[in-house]
Amino acid sequence: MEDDTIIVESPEELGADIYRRVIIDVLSDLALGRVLLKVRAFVDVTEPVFIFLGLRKKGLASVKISDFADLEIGGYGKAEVLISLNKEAYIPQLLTKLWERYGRGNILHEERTLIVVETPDYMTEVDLLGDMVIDEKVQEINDRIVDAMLRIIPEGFRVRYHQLTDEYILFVASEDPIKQDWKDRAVSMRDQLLKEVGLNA
Amino acid sequence: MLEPMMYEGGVHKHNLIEELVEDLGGYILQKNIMQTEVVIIMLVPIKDTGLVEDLTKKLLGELTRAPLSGTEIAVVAPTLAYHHLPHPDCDIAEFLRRKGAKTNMVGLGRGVGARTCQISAHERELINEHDVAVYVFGNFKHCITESKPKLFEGIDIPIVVTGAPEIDIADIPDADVYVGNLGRIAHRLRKGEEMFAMDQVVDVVGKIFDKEREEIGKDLLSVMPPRVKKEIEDQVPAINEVLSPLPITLRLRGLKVKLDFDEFHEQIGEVSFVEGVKLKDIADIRRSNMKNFILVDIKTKSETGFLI
Repeated sequence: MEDDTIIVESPEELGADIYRRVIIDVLSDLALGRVLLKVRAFVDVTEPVFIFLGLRKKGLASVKISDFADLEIGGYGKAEVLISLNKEAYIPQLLTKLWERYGRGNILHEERTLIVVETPDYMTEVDLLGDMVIDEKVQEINDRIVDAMLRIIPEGFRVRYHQLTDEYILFVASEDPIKQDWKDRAVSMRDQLLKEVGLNA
Repeated sequence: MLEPMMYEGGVHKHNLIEELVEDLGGYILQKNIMQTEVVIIMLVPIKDTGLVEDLTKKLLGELTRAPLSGTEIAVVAPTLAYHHLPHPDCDIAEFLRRKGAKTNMVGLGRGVGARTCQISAHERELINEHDVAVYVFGNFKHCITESKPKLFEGIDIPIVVTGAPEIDIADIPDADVYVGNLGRIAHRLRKGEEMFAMDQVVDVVGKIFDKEREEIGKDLLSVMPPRVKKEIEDQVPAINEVLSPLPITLRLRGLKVKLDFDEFHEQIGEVSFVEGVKLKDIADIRRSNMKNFILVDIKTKSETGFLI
């Protein structure tokens, strides 16, 4: 496999090779293969330092109610909003959010694909509900990325420095206090990678 | 001379094998029944193996040599976190078990890191209760040769080290054998070279035991551990109620009895043999670091002056 998606550098070549395999295994275990565009890592056990850099793919929108359901106001004289679902996948998260906001007694879910919300402000609530965020994909993926980091970093390296943004994740870990040199190296790796991608795109 | 063997076959009529081995003067070390299958690990007198082979054929079972039978091996990992488990530690342990060994996994409390790794006195004693320690290490040569040998301090038993790079054993202080091509692996070990490396671990451990047995041959134990096992089973009824997988675990120079030390060690010491000696006369009985069990270290002929 001669691609440049994942590259691990180290003074010890064989160690780097096997570490690349570990990163592939962990990322695929956590289903992060499609989330990270490029991965660079640097390991030097003599220092000791471990630097991990992952470039993230963009375009993970959060899921709103209007994405998978139609909303309308209930029949004449009824203070309610009707949510008719096109997809059943999000029902558990949706119900939890609705219960939080309106109270359990005001949510009727008698039919599988129809949820009735009883509220006196149904005229305004109907618009508000449409924009309600049900599933925060970004948050979940961030959690998974951090989990992957902790699995990849050598276990003894408990002193860590990190940057997590929408564009990239950067981790520096060691068992000694993090040196400025290492941070500088990580940042230059990041800049170079961002430049590479910018040029290729 | 007894030959360690493993019988694998159906449950139907497997008691014939047990009876035959006992009639021949051999010992049943372990019996595992899994639904309709049974695996028996046993010691058979070497000149009578043919008889057991014939019966095995008749019962449509399979008989193989299990060179690691009657030994207890510590598989040592720097910690028990997901960086080491379940692969490759569990896979290596399983390969050793398949050849008849009893393995215990030892996860050190503070075994991680290069500068920071350390081993406690309790962990050291616990590892020393085994016949061999297999240390499972990672991917970097520098780490294995420079940092980790700290974890071997005070270990008196043979040490096998596994890791990824090719390293000359002379570069690892205090270790006896090094096996490469393993290292930190986050998937199940099933590729050819990984399986081969694990076979190699089994081989080197087997060789260490051959050497140890040769050493024992120069100054024999006063009584063979399997015989003590049998006598304890006959004379201490409480052992039959122990739910641990192997209530009496054999080691090369003794055994571990999985009963509470304070309650039972005197009873174990009083176990007697037809020759008229008691176990406490020919063995040291001490407390194990593992769950307060009883450790029996059998004295050699040069200490007691006789063999039974």
